Amino acid sequence: MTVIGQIIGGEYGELYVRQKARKTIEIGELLSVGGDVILQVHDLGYDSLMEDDDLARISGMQLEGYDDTAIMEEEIRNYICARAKLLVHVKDGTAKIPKKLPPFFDQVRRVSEENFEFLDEPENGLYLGKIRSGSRVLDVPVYIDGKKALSHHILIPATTGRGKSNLVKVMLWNLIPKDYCGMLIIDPHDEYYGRNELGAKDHPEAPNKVEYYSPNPPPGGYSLKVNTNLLRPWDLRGIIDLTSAQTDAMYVYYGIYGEEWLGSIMVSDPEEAKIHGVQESTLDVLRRKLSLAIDINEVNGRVYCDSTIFTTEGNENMMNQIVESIEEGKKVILDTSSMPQDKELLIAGMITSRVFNRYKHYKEKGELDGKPTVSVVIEEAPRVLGERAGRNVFHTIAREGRKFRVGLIAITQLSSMIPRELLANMNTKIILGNEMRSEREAIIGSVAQDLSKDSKNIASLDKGEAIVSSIFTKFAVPIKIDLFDDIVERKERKNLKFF
Amino acid sequence: MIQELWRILNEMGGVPDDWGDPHFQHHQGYYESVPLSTDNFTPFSSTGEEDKVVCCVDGGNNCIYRSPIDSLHLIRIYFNLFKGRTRSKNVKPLNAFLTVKQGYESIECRIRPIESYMPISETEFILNKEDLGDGNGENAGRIIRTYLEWDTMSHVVEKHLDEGDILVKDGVLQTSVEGEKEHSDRLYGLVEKHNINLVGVAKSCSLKTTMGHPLISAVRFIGDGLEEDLWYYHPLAINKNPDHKGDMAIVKYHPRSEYVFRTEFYEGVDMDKKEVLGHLANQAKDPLFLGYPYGLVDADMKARVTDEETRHLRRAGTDRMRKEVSYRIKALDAHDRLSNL
Repeated sequence: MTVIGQIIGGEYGELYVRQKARKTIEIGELLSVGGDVILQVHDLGYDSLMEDDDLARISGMQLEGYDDTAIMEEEIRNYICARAKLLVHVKDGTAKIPKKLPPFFDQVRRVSEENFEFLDEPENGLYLGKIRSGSRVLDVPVYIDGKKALSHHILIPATTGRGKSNLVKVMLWNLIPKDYCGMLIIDPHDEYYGRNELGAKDHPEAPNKVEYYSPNPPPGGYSLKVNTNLLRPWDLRGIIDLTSAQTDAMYVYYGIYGEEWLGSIMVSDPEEAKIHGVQESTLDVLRRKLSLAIDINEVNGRVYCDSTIFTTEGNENMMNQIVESIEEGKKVILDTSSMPQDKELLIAGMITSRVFNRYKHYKEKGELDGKPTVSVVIEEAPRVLGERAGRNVFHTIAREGRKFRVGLIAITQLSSMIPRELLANMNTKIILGNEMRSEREAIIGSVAQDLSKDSKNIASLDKGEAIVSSIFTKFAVPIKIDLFDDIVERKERKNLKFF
Repeated sequence: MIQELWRILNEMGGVPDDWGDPHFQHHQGYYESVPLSTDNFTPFSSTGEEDKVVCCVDGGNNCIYRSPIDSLHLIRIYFNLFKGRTRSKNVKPLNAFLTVKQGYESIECRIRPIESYMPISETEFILNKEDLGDGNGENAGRIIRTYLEWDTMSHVVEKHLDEGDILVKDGVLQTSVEGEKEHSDRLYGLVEKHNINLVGVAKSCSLKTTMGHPLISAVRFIGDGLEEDLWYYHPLAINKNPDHKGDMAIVKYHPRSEYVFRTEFYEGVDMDKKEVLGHLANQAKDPLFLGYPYGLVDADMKARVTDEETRHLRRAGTDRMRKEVSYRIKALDAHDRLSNL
């Protein structure tokens, strides 16, 4: 590759690279030095050998019509200076964290595919995209160890329109045939299955590997209707705002009536409540809250559900079926697009709790090794992981899920709303473009590699461009994510086995 | 105070009724002055042609150590080669140390080359103390630098220029010390042999008119009344000085320039003055110093030996200096020490 610049100064964290005249260096671009060191540009600026006053005077002359002036050797005296950081040092075919500076005045070149021969597909590789150097895409696929990365949680932070949904679709598509992980995808926009467009249903292995639950399922889908007997008091934690007396009351009834606890509360009379130590007023308010949350009512001693989501009859096995499918490595998509947020989170929490509890049980029994990793995809993650969300199963998984091989794929526009501790636990971050500085800072402050200089780089990420920072990569890898529709079309056209 | 300053400046101004004529105070017998006249202004045009190489040469020197009996200098000579506004070749400067040892009547100078674009060996020069005047140690550096400038120009003519190319010396085409002529004559011979256009451009000019006005400002003032954008004023005198081979002119290289420059054409070569000046004017459009050929700006910057550079060398050398040398230097450096406090 031809020379496009030269190192003219700087320090370990920031090298100055003078851009060669008539060559272009882009923000985010990867540069090769000496064939074994790769730099990444995080900022660009103008520089000049002339003093500021001279520049102002020259500009004045040109603007004010001092005709026939021409800057001699402009390409020598005025130039663009790229600020770059040491990204990776390739030694003996393996990537190392750079420990020393490349020689002063070394010339830099654009990277090519050959510079990334050290990258290979790990076991249980999860394909994310191709190496991107600035806006140039190299034919170098980027994989991370899916099994490990999924259990250690993945955060996908981005603002609207930067390609979050496309990324999740691509990841899901690539994971469908993989037996090493089961997934629960809570889909508030009903976009991943592809009811009316391309989606997971179009994958050749979808009939055996994808299950779709919806209140209004298409042919081949399953009805998403939850029998109220499957509800447990702890499922309502964080969903309904309850006093401690009301919470105690639920647990008392659950202790006495087991899975019938909810119906028992709805039909319980004050005398009975008093016997169980529950005040009449507590019972009344609890009933009202449960009725609003679950659409459960009582008429003449008969409990019924006036809801498209909950039922008092049938579907008792749905929850088990979902959990078992996930455990078999299937990808279960829940269409929650027609649900109010509290009901969406209630159902998502119910299923997630059951999967999590089961995996905890496997761990206790020493049976976890043969089980696939479970990944729960949750959109607008601060709803369940934010400070205000309170304790819930997602919170618990974010803290300790990896011990039980249960992880989250948390998608959010507002990473700053998620506590630092939880952000730090998300060991892989696929960072898409974000204009909001406070959000970028929250992400930068919690990534696996030092991205302290990359704020502008992140702000400049275009749709489909991302930086992958993970404890499972040696460096923060800039990638271009494939367009999902292209993947599906390519697959159909070539009929090739995908990854 | 400022008002008084303005008043003084106002009193210093005023357009004279008679500017007088060029006056050559020194060497008067060698110059036959030509009266000032608007007829002597000749317009010319800048040319963008890239058919000729324009080479500008300049040198710099600075003292690193000095004592009452000896001194050490750094000399740097640089030349550049342009075709139109494009540098046609990159050249590293010549760097050499110069040791100066003062004898009773003469001064012994020895050049110790460090890096050079031309063959140059360790050479000794004996300078006559009378030629050097006061501060003779400092002057020795300047004189040897001048020798090397002439030698560099000879080297350039032989190795880098073809017939019709332009060689620009920083300063006038006049020698001022005894040994210098030997070097300049060698260049003149080569310039004539290869038919090179040799010119000298002086940044400053102390020539006056018979009425005591600076000649440069008189010519410029008269030239301002003309319509021409670019002009040269010529002749100023008929020159019969054997040590001065320049046919003198005053040139305005850019329409917006605040400066006009004394420019000399080597009289031993028949040159198309308009064409030569057109090439220099093409280089004089750089807004950094509008009206001064960029090649000379570049040569000046690259040949310069700054105080900072000599300070650095001084510090580096002091660590390994023998005691007797150190003591000699201390005989003169207390003033510098105080200045740095």
